[in-house]
Amino acid sequence: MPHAPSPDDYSDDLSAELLRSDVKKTQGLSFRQKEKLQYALLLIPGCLLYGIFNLLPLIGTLVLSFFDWPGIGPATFVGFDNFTKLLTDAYMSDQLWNAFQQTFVFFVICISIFLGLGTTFALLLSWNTAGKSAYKLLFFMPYPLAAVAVAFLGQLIVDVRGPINQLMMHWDLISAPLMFLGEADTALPTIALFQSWQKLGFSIMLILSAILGVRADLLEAAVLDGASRWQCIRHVVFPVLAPAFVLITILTLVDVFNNAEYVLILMGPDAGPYYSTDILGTFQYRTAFGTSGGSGTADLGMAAAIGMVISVLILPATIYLALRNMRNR
Amino acid sequence: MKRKSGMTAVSALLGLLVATPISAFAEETLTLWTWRKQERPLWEAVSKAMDDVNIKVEVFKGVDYNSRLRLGLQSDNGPDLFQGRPGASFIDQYASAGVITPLPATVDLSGISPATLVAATGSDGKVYGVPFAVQTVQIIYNKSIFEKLNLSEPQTPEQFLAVMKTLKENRVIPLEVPGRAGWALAMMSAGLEAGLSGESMKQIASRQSPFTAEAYQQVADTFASWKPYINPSAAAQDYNGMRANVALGDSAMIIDGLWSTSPLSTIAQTDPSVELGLMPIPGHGGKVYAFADGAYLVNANSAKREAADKLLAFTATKAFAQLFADHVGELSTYAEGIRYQGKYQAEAASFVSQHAQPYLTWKGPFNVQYEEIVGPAYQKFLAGKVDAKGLTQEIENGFQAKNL
Repeated sequence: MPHAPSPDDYSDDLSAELLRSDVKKTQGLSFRQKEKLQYALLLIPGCLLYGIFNLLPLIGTLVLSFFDWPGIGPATFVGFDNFTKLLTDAYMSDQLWNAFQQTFVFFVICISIFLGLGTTFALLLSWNTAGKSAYKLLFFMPYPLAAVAVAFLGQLIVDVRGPINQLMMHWDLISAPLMFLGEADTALPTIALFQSWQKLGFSIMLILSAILGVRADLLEAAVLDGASRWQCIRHVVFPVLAPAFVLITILTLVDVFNNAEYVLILMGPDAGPYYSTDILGTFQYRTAFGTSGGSGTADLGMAAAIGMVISVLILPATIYLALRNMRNR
Repeated sequence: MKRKSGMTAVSALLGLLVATPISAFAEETLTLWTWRKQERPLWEAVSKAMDDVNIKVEVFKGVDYNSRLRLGLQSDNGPDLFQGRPGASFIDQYASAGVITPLPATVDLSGISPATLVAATGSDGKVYGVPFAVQTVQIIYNKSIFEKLNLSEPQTPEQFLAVMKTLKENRVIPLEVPGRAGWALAMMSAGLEAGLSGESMKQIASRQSPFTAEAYQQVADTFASWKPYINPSAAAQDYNGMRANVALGDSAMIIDGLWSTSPLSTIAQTDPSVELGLMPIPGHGGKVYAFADGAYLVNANSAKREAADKLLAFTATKAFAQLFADHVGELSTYAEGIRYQGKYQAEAASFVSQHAQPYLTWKGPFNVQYEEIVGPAYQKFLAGKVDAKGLTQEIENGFQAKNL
């Protein structure tokens, strides 16, 4: 019975190859193509979400930064005026650089606590510490709390009539109550500590999962070779923690530079005392919606310009860290 | 028989269904947006007094009010009427957006005190709304503390210092200042201007003289001399904390507006039985800072424009002014003939008629800039970063930077 020719019928390669390609065309998509189509279909929902909720607003902000709009009424096109004013006008640029410096200080405090204390607690949790499941629960409990609740609680604790001051006065450590949130020097670090306390749990969990991912045979080999506990940690565990550290740094960087929930809750958009708690988030909010007196004017175009400046400030650091992390893999 | 009773029931039901919507149409519901919760009893009374209109009041927090208003006025869910902040800096924004229009001829402003119209006037000189509430800035003090220490209201700056000294010796904070609230510091500055400088501030208010001139420098110098008697944690104190402290008796005096004497304010809520006293800030100026707190405005894009305009015309009448005085407990902007029965109203009314200052800085034409500059400057002063001379220089620099 005659049958359709197949590539195996032919002994010379060229004819076999030609027939194979004909066969492919008649059989629809190849496995490779189907695989690629599957990838694309699975990625589309994520890309759509990201596009609608991240890219579109970003483009919208960029467009808005070229306009002057008080929130109501007509928007006038001003080109790069907002950026020029922001960077050169003394009133605006002073506030911008002050906010930037303070945001950086805020970031350094947060990241030191996350990486320093986070690693310490994660290490302790990775060993056979007594009651470690209870500790895990305790460390992570503040994370889901609302920022308003934590800020309010923190404010009560450091208040002039609060427990810290009263206890210190009772033990004669100080003669007059310390104004943690009232002094220009201590207000920002205090607020940074509130935020760090709340978000520490997340860093501990990330670092802990990285530590637990260290290959047990590597540790055993190190111990057999006579390494002390500290040497094991330093030479076997820490190198593996680098991706976790990078992730925490990127997340904290973006969080501190973009959000200002604690300062807004505790100090309002005015970021007192005398702008000493002003960070980029509060500066942008104040420009967008006015000061707490209620009479302030809104300048949404300028606020959008500030938003673009913030993005430009954090973008290089984020890209560098992400690339470095990818390269290390 | 059953059929007949059945038919009766159905026709009765139909009648009810038809009648209900008709009766509802007879009354129009208008929404009014404000940041002042003390307006609620007033508008309930107005709804009762007027048969054909029912006013629904929506109160927003003062901090959010401006943002909410902007959003609401651009959507279909906006108010029919709203209260606006005083001064051209507020009015101009909304006028240029087409949300408010100059008053129609049906609104008769002849009974309103002319000095208050500036709160509803744009920089084009046209009046866009009806001003409400005359507020005064004065010293509010805890009467029971004064009585306990046998103190009387000081009439001169020297007597004032003596009173503060006595209070301090008796471990009461003489004067509580809210360092965290920039706008409240601007209010305090306005009160001090009127009491300590009075008419000589006119030149500075019209920007013919700088803030470093003698008229304001003496205000800064005097305030600096009071520093030993101000609450030590002034930089950390917020506005409501200040009011709570005077209600609790931890501090004796605050410089605050008349609105804080209302039964709905923090002071009364902290201690409903507290006895308050009002007095002008003693000084060589001898004036009390008075201003109109804002204006009732109609949303030009409202679907019920006609009814809203009618209601606006009513707010300019004597009947409304009397209702305002009775239910809100503040001073109305109506010029004459209003009876004030509240404890503090009559006293404040006498301040206004006899001692009101003849210019406006805070809550005036450049209200926005005044708060933005004076508030932080005083915060810098309270933090010890500048002295009295530096304070006035900061303020002047700020105004210069804003081309004022």
